[in-house]
This record gives sequence, C-alpha cells and structure tokens, in this order.
Amino acid sequence: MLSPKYTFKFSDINAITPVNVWDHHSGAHGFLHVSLDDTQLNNVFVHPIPPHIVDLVDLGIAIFTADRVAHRHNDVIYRIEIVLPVRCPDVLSREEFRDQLSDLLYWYTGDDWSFDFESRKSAGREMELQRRLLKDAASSFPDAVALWSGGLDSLAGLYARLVSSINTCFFLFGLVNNPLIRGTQRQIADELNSYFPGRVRLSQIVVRTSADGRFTANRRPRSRGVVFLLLGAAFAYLQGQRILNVFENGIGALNLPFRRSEVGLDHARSVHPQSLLYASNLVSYLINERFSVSNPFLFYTKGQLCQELARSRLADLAFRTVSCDSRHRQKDCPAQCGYCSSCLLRRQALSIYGDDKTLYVVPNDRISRTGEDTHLLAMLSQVDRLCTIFASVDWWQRLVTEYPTLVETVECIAHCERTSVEAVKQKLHDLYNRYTHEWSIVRPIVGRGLLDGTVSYISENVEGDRREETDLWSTISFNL
Amino acid sequence: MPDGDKVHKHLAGPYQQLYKQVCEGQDCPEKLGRDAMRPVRRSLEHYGDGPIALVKHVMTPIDRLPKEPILRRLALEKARGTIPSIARAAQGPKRGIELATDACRQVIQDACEGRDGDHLLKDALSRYVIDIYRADFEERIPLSRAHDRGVDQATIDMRLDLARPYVEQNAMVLAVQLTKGCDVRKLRLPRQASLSYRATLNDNLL
Repeated sequence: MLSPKYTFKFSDINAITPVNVWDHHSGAHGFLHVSLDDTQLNNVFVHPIPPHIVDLVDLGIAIFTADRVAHRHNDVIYRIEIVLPVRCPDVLSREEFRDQLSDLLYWYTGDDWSFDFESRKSAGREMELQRRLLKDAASSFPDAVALWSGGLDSLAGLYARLVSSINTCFFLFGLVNNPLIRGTQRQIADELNSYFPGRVRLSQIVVRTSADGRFTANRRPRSRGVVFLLLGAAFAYLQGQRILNVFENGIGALNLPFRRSEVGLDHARSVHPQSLLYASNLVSYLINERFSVSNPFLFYTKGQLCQELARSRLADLAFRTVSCDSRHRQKDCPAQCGYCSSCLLRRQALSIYGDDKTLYVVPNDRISRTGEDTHLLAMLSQVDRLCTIFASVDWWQRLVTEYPTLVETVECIAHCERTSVEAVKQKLHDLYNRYTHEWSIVRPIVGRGLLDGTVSYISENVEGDRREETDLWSTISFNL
Repeated sequence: MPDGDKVHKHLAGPYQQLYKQVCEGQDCPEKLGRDAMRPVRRSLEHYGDGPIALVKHVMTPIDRLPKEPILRRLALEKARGTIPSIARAAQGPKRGIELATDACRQVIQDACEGRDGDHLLKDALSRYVIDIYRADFEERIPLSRAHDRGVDQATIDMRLDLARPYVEQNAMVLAVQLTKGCDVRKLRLPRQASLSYRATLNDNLL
C-alpha cells in the first residue's frame, strides 16, 4: 500500500514566495504564500555570503512550511516531496547529503521526505546583495553564537555563560513566526545587552505562512527543532563560527516519555542529543568542514540551569520568557497555560527558588478544568517510576527496560563528548536523581490549583510552605 | 525540549470493557489476563503485519546463528544498528512500528546482558504484545483519584499487578502463533478461564 503523499513546489524563495501544494491522498491542490524577513542577517562577518549557506536557510524555510501545512491523519508514514529552487543544486542533490537530510527528517517527524533541487532563476535576496554593498558593516564578530527562543532555558543558559565567561560576546539567533515571540525575544535580549554592554546581539528571521483554506495547519509540527538548528547553523557559519550553542536542560532535551502510552514522536526530539549529532553531521557535510551543535547543559536539570539567573538581579527577566506549548489568546488572560508539560517543567524549576511570578491561566486566572491535570499526573508518575528505578541496584538495566532508546542515546552522547559509556550512564543517573529530588521539594507547590482545584488555598498558604521548602533546597549546592 | 508533547487522556474503545472489569474487581487475575488479549488482538490487527514483519526481519538472523558468544554479541550489535532502517521501510501505523522497534531493542539489550532465552524472535514478539497491552491499556488508564465505582488508583494498580503474569503468559501464546506465521487477523485467543473471583482481605497479594 502506498503512503499518502504531499508535494510542495516552491518558487524562488524571496520576501514573498508562492508555493503550489498537492495533497495526493485527498486530491486537493492549492496555493500558499510564505513571507520571509531575513534582513537582520545582513550584518554578517563572512562575505560574500556563500550560496550554499543561503540554500541552507531556504531549505529550512521549505521544511518549516511543508511540515506546518502537511496535515497527517491516521498515524501513518507520509511521503513529503519538496521541489525547491536553490543556488547550488549540484551540491544539495548529492546522494549523501539527501540521504542524511532524509534520515534527519525521518528522525524528527517519522515521515519520508524527498527533495528535488532545481536551479534558482531570480537574483539573490536582499541579504545576499546588500552584503556586497556593505562590505565592512560587520563591526564586530562574536565569540559564540547561540539559539534564542525567548524561552527560559535559552535565557538561563545565556546568563550563566555571560557570567562565567566575562569576555565572551554572544550573537543570538531567533526564528520567529508570531509577533508575541518576536517582541519577547527582542526585549529580553535588549535588557541583557544593557546589563552586559556590547556582549549580546540578536538577529531574527521572521517566517509566516498563509494558506488558502484548503489546507488545515498541522497542529503538532515536529520539525520545528530541526529548522531552528539548520537556520541557526547557517547564521553561526555566517558569523565565522563553527559551533552553534543550544541552551537546554537535560530533562527537556532527552524528553523521555512520562508513561508507556506515549510512544515514539508523542514526545518531541527538538534538541535531543541524537538530533544535535545528526544536524551537526548534515551541516558538516554541506560546508565540508567540522561543524557542531552543542548543548553545554545536557546534564543539568532545569532547576540547576536557572540557578545563576534566579539568584541574580535579573531574576525577574525569567518571568517574562515564554515556555508554553498551547498559549491562550483571550484578552485579559495570561498567555501561558500553566498545565502543559513545558509550563510544568518551568514551574517546577522556578518554584525551587521562591515565588514564580509568571502569570499562568492555571492557577492565576482560574482553577483547572477536567483533563488539565493530565500532564502533571503523567509527569509525577514518571518521577515516581524513576525514584523506584534509581533505588535499585540494577538501575541501568531497569532504566533501559523502561526506556529502550536510552542505549543508543548514551552511545551517541559518549561519542559526541568523547567519553566512556559508563561515564555518561553515571551522569544520567545524577541528572535524574537530582530531578526527582527537586520534585520531592516542589511537588506540593506545582500541584496546587491543578491537583486539588483550590486556587484560593495557594495565596493563603503557599508562601509559608515555600519558605520552608526553599530552606530545604538551600542545603543542596550546585556547581555551574 | 518538551514541545507540544502528546499525553493520552482516554482509553480507546476496545479497552473500555476491560477497564470496567478491572474497576469492578469481580474477575480473578487469570480471567483478566485472558480477557486482556481480546482488545490486544484488536490492537495487533490495527497495527497490522508491518510491525510483525519488522520484528522477524531484525530477530530471525540472530536466531539462525550458532550460540557462540562473540559471534552472537556481534550479531546483536549489528541487529540493533539495523533497526532504524528496517523500521523506516515498515508499513503500518507509526505507533505499532515504534512499539515493535522498542520490543526488539529490549530483547537485544537483554541478550547483550546475558538474559536471553533460546528463541529471540518469540521473545521479541511476546514483548511486542506485552508492550501493546501496556501502552494501549495499562499505562493509558487515566491517572485519577477516583475511577469507575469509586475505586482508587492504588486498588487499580494492585489489580493490574496481579493480572500481569497472566497477561505475559497469554502474550506468549499469541507470540508463538505469530512466530509460526499466523496471520495477525486470525490469531486464536488463549483458552477461556471459568473462575469468578473477588479478592478478599485474607488473600496474600504478594
């Protein structure tokens, strides 16, 4: 039986790009437009901009668009075919590159992606042409490049790095597809730059897709992580860097299923260690030299990652970051839900250090409704299971029985970090032990409003409890 | 990073009856273990032949090798490396394919650590059936303080624990049929248990 298939035929990617879309399964055909603003990439260190690097940006935008529009049904593998005009079709059409790309996207989305690279007809975009005119515009070049999502991890990671490496200048890259995130990314980066003068600079690419109504959006696009990595890698290269930093805590990066009912891509692999390795290999092949995507906080819990920030004068910046997976858009209502797994992990981490001043729908605006406790209960069930596993002598055996993919993950990390498998196992042991310990401290705080439905109880009693709990926490020290 | 993670909130239709039975507590663990195979067989049908073919493709070459430790170890490592490419070529729902690959990974890991049986294919198919039971039923039961008939989570967990050995036993019965090439739509369920049972305070539940 043939898999259902989508075909996306892109015109040359410019500020506004028409795309032809065929849904072969339903027989629907339609158009969509992609709008792109990459003018902030003008001021780059490398010049002239190598055409295959701009092709990498175009490739990321094409994947981003296709994954958002290709609506998958029935949990089957889809074939997604992309016809994309590029500057270097001979380079991108090499079998090894296409195989690596296809493998990477299968890992991220569970679908079969194929590419037909054609020659681009029009001249380059503004960013390519302006670069040649403003040859000396790049006044400084960075010591490091990092992805910038506007989320808590990217802020906490960057802050920790800014503090620990006092002479390092960071160029940040943000991919944006909605105005809220665009503003959040910009404001927080600007505040950091005013606190660390001249050491933080943000460039954003804005991509938006508008379809003609025949195609409903895929509500769970799994390629977001890889698109961010590919575009971030292109940006890092253009800044003369061969390392792209990704700041993400280990619990979120590994993103183990909470319960056995969550299978495969039910949990995203956005910045999973294997994802970073595959993306590094793909970019290395394209640029024909070693490039790596690195997450220096892989063995940190989110609580540990936030430690420096939470104890600094910039602690309140944390409450302005956005973590939520399912943001609410009602007027006069907090944007972040407070009960999805991303919000919960954030609440867990921030609660360690005292009052989480972020406004959430639950518990700040209302009590939870039926089903809104699902993620928390599942997370807690995972925590309980991990406690049981780590209490046993044969914890590794039990851990891989529960999470069979960890064997490959550990081998991958050992390979990337040039260390032994045993050392990685021990670090994972420490990571999850700390994570479960953190939960034992903040469980009552995060649970209020969700598990007992009594919001008023929070304002009356939480402060006293929290003081007691954070006193407990102060007995634990971290070394960043 | 968590990014729109999917957490299942409800049991699928075929498992509702089994859930009711667990909540009622009328049936003995043996009967529950047997009745569990009815919806599991439907899941197996839904996932189709693709995952079964995948398991056979990965495990059969190892079973054919002589029981020489170094040779076997190499074969196991090789088999583990081939899982992603075989999975990618497999037909059927992604969930079934993922469960099958996880089953292969678990059995290969056990074998690498010397905990393997004589017949890895049968073990992997049995593991696949058990994983379906766990993923589609046991660990998909909504976590709640009050289940049907006011039963609490601890009681549900205890009843599931008691039934699990029988589930594993019956999973092996299905696995044997699958090993012999039986069509996934023609699997025979294990023999019916006829006992009616209610756990009492005097029962040794350990």
